[in-house]
Formats: sequence, C-alpha cells, structure tokens
Amino acid sequence: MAWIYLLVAAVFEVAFALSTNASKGFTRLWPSVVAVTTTVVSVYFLSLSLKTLDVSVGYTIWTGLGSLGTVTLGAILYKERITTPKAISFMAIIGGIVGLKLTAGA
Amino acid sequence: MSWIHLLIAAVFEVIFALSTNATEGFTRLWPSLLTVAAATGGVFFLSLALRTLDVGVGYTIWTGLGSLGALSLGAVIFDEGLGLGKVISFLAIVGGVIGLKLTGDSTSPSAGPQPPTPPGPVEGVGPAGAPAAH
Repeated sequence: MAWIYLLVAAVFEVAFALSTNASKGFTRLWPSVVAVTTTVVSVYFLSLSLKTLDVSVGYTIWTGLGSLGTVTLGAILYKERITTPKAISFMAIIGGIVGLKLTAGA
Repeated sequence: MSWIHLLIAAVFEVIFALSTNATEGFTRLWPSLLTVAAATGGVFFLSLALRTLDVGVGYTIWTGLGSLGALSLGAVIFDEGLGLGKVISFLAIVGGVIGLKLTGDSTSPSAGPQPPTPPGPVEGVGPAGAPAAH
C-alpha cells in the first residue's frame, strides 16, 4: 500500500510542476490554485508512504519520478525539446539525486 | 534572470529542507513558520523561473540543487563524512546543471520568437501560506 501512496504522491508532484509552469509566476488564478492544491496532496501522500517506507528511498523515488514525469510531460504538453546533451544532463542530475540519497542513509 | 530566480528558489528549498528537520514533526513553532515561509518562497521563485525556462529543466534543477544543498549543509552541520559515492553524486548533479545551462535557455519552439526586452514582470501574489513543497 505504501508504494501505491508513493506513486499517487509522484503523480501529484508532476501535476504540481506542470501547473506551476502554467501559472506564469502565479499571475494566473486557476493554475495557481491547482499548483497549491496538488503540492498539498503530494506531500500528504508522501507522508503516508513514509510511515512504512524508508525516508531515503521514498523521497528519492518521489523526486526521481517527479523529474522524469515532468520532463516527459513537459516535452509532450509544452513541446519542450529534449536533445541528447539535455537527456544526458537530466540523467546525470536524477542519477546524482539517487546517489546522494542512497549514500546518505535514512 | 530566470536562472537567478531558479538559484534563489533552490536556496529556499535548502532552507525548507533543513528547517523541516528542525520542526520535529511540526511541533515547534519557529522552525515550522520558517519551513512554511521557505516553501512558499521556493515555489514562488520557481514559478518566476518557469516563465522562461522549460518546466522539465527548471523542476529537475530545482530538486537537484535542493537535494545537493540540503545534504551538503546537513553533512557540515551534523559532521558527517563525505564518502566517494557522495562526491560522485555531487559532481553528477553539478555537471548536469551546467550541461542544461550550456544547452541553452531555449523555451518551447511553439512559443515563437521572444521579444528582445519583455515588459516589466507583473508581480503576482504568492500563495498565502502554501504548505510544504518538498
């Protein structure tokens, strides 16, 4: 069940990033409302999953899936171009986050 | 300017992460207030950066630099050692951020040509009391 919570949290995290992008610096009402709502729900489900999952694992998967989903959906929805150097950079950062969290312990 | 906004957002994210630790489950007042304020500031400056940066680039760098700063400062504050794994991870994140910066401030091609000097930013109001982002 904790993994289901974590997946739900990651989905809301991606929705948060995309709606923050659409809020244009919080100058547009509805995307701003969605951004605030999704981040609350995201953190709530993350906290549910962390009741049983180790925090280093849970947090890493949460931000890792958040990044992957945001990059992928950003490319699809907002036509953001992903070139090879960009893809390598994304993988370096996401890999670095995973590495930091896993070597940091709980 | 968007990169400056993104760096500021990452600094807020680091403050957020460290102050969350100090709240002890949001049972202490001042660290809790600082946590909420830092989260609000982080999300607000992220949104400013995303007005010109791609959301994939902005979000990934935001979380990457936030993790890097929080774990580095945490290591200094709590006097943890810096093992080889951490150093490699550290360099991977920094290298990735530089890589994204070098591959351009490109926005979506569908956005069309950008005007050379956009008009002054319309300052929006941050989400009052936005809760924890991370």
